[in-house]
Amino acid sequence: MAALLCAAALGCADPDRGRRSDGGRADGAAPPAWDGAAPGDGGGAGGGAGGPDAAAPGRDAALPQGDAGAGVCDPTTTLTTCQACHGPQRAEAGLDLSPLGLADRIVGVESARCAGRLLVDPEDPERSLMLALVDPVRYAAAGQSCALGLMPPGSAGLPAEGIACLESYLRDISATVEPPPPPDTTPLDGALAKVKTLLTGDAPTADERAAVVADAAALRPLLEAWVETPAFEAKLQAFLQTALQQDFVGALEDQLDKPRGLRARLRRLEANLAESFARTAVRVVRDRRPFTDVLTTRDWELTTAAAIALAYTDQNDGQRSQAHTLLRRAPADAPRPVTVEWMVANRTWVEPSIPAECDFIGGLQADQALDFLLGLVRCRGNQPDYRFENQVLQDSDFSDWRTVTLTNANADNPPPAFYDVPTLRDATSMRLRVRRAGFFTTPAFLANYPTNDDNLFRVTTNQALIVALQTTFASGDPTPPFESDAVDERHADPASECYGCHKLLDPMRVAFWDAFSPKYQRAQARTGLAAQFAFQGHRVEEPMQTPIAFGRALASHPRFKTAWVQRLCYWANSQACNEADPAFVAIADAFEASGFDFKALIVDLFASPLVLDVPLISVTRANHFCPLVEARMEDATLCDGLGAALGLIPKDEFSRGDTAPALTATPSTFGFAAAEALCERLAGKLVGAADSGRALNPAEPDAAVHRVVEKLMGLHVGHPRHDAALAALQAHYEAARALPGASNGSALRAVATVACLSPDVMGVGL
Amino acid sequence: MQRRQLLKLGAGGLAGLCLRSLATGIPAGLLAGPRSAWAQAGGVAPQSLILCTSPSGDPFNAHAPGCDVAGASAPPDDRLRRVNVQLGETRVRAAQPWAALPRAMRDRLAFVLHRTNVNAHPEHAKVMRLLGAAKGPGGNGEDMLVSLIARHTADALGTIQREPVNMGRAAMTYQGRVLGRVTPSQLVDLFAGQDAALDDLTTLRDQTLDTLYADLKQTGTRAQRDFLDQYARSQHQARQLGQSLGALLQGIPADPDEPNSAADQVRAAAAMASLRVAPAYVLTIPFGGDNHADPGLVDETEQTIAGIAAFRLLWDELVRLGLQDEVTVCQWNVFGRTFETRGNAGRNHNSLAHTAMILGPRVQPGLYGALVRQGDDWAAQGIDPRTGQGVGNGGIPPGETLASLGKTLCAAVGLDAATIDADIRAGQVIRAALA
Repeated sequence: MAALLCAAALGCADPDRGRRSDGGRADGAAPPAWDGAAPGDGGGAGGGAGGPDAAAPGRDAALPQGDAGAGVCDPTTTLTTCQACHGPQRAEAGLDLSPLGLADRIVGVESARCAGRLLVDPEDPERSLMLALVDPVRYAAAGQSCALGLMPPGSAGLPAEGIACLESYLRDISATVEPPPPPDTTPLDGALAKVKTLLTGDAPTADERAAVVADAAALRPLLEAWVETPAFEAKLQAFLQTALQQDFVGALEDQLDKPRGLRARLRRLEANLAESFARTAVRVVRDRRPFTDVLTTRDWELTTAAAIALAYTDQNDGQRSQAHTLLRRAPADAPRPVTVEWMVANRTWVEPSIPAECDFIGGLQADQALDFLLGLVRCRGNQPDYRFENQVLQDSDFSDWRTVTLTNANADNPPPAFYDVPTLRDATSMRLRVRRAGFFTTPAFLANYPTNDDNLFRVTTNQALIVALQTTFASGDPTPPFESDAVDERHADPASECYGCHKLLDPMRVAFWDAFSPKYQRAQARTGLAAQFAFQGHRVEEPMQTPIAFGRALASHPRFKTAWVQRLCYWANSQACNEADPAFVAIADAFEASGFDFKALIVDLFASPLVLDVPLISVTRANHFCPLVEARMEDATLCDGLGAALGLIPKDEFSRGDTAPALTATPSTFGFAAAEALCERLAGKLVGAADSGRALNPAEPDAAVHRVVEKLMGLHVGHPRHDAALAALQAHYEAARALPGASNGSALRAVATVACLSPDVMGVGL
Repeated sequence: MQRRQLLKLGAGGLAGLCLRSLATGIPAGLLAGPRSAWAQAGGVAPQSLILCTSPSGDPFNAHAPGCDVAGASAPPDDRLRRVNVQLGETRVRAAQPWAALPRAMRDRLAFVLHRTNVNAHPEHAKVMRLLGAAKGPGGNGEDMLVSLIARHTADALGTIQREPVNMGRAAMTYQGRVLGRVTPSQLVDLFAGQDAALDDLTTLRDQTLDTLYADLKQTGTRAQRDFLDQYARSQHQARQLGQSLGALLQGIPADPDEPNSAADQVRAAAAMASLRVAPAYVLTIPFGGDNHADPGLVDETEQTIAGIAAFRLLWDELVRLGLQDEVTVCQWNVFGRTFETRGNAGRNHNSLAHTAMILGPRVQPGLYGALVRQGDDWAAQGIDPRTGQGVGNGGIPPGETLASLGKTLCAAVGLDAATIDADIRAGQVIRAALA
């Protein structure tokens, strides 16, 4: 079996793609026949240019014995080479190049891994990914390359005549494709509502709509204003928390040695660690810093609690084994009242509230001291552990966000003790032995991707690449590797197909291996191995022994700009954009030219057809729901307490090894049931008497129904659907009010529920 | 009699059909009809599928039939000692809990030794697509096997929704679209508290939603119309489930401190299968996880025992609901694990040996395929599809045993040979594994 496991990323078919029903060329000539017709293929056997009788119609459109310039070429020879890996029995990367129905599998079909690229672009065959793969020098410039390896992998490429033959064939089959139906014109109201809702949660106003109706160019200044609002920052933070894979889906068990404590505090600690780098990235964007800073920055947004976690993982073995003492009463030599400073200096903790029946363990190790700070004292025997609100670490220590500069600790300037809460509370800089820098060194990111003695940071490295560059290793990557002793030949035999990826991955992971233990605590020793970066055509000559050097290597990679345009495409459209689209290329180039100004990128992209003209309408996922209802109803507390119900509707997710985010876009049975449950609870929070501060006053039902239509549904007066919606909801109110036992309040709740459940709220882009 | 009380009585055979009809509000003719139609058309009665899968690559193969090979490491715990296990007429060696399963269950239990040909966790989706051999509609592109099966069985089963329900930990797709994950506790939250007194309000709500978008459904763009149609369909489907599912979900969570456990997933899947919610359900039943570092194989031991117990619970639930002849269960992960541990540390990935389990009425009980020593560990051989024996030459080559497993599962759920061959472009049905 050929060694192509990680081979070129070629993707899945679009069965709805239009084909000429006669299988013919645009000029009316029949397509040539495929001489290797499979059973069931209507095409004739034998070689030679096929006549009308030999042409297989529709999806069985056939391979030509085409004409490549002066000579006659046979694409079967070329494609047969590929079929060892891309055949019906082993369709590597989802690509089956066997003859039967081949055109339907490649023409106008998007690659799965090289997002947005078409295997064969019928409108411009020279932009076809298949050509870029066999002749990257000539064709990669035709679109943003995914830097996939030369095909066939491990070869010097196809001979020139083979490439010419393939070109000719692809042009021929492109001509057989029926032009796609004219795309839906995305209604102005839908496009405007989509971009404003995505960026701020709010709906367009009548004035905004009027301005854009009068002059489409008015949209850009609106976008520029929207990205300066606090509501946008909240949306951006949620987006970046997921895009940088900081959402906490893992556990702190390894990094913090199975922490225990008051459950609410543990949850808040996890939330702090998840938010920390998202807040950092928002600051980078707000300050118009180059977005590449997310790969290298050492200025992190932290709370005291988050700083404690960083300090804890930075301990060496000696510090980890330091003894602490826990007492119920202060010793005689302690000051009265006993101070936190004294307790820290003496590693002696005094907690009078420990109940008498708790026969607690007085001698603590570091992990137990951390548990104590988090509010847990272990009791011997069958006594349950004692959980309490420890006042050494206070609630405010979980919300005192500030920028903390991470610096390098050394023997003369050691890191702070994790239990030195007063020092950490005041810190605006923090010395650490682990040279953390960039999103991929945060406790949240690392918790999501546990490694072990065998894996040794391969998963961490790969996942960092996926986030930064939205691509992953491919065994066909032609980038010359560095000579390195870091390649694990026991795990990846140079003769095996695994080696194709490991030769590049293994030297890269040393940047993590030198910094961290497999538990993502401080490494006790360096590996002595050389860390180097070579990936998808980009080589960094300088060694990169630290995470920050790894971050710099990622920042210099030519795919960075493309990756982040694509990430925003997913956010906006719930699907990929075509990376070869000239508009996409222009936006990515402009992003780079701006010094990676992320706000400018967002404005460029959201003002472009790549977002405005995408017809797909998505369900409103959890990440968009709360900002939407809170912005529109002007109540920032609406989602408080909805936690369980909110968890029922789909949210933006990522999964290990996937370059694309997991985004549920289509309505589903359970999605509807979840939305209904959520909306019922939300309606309860919207309706209340005037003095309750709630948005909908039952004493003024008419005004309340207007508010539901114009604010919650976002259909302002003058909107084409305003009057009909108002009439429907007024009728709904009357009908609900007439039910036995109903009140103004219950009827208004019914109205709010149905409005919340409507596709104007539960859909994006209607 | 209340619907809820009816459901508590359980459902089996024709009586079960009537009860389910009463309980769900779905006409008995509809519940029975599609399946009958399929059988009358010459096909085999389609099965609902419960697929248990994990991208962690749990060491399921380390204790399942076929595990007792030379040099294999076993935990010191006596509860997993190797014993004879009777699968129908076949006697195999496996960990003791397999032998403790009810005879009626073991008489429908098959294990297939095969290769997934991958050894990295992120390749789970690729394995679910049979490395590209499982095709999408019209034979185009590629599709996950569970999606392929659902596509063919949904109509015949007459399920409320066409796409599978994913309650497991793996990212799954239906015709390329990401399936949202639904946990058992979420199902309970959604359906267990439904109050029949709100029926009037619900009807009113549905009418208003229809009214709100009546014009747009006529005059909107294609994308708008598509979305509104899908939305209305999901609304209708949610109404069909109504209170019925909530009643069946009573008892979930089994342990409030461990919501969404394997037991909860099993109960929820059986409950939904009884209402024909979906053609397939995806779960994750842990069997030791990604256990490179599991000193003493402690986690592996506990989870293997709990995992087999979860299968036992699933069988009991299917029998209780009268579904044992209507549901096929498959356990199938991203890869197997090495039979030998690295000292006391744990097990590594094994792309060459994986054990899948199929439980169902169309299954011929037994062990299919064989292992052969290769390198430092063991690898699956090719399979003679006629006898099910492992073969060094001829038959199904080792590299195609994954696709062959997929084809065999398709046959077990009732897909016909032509459909199977058209949609899976590699491997062969292991005929010996079918009753």
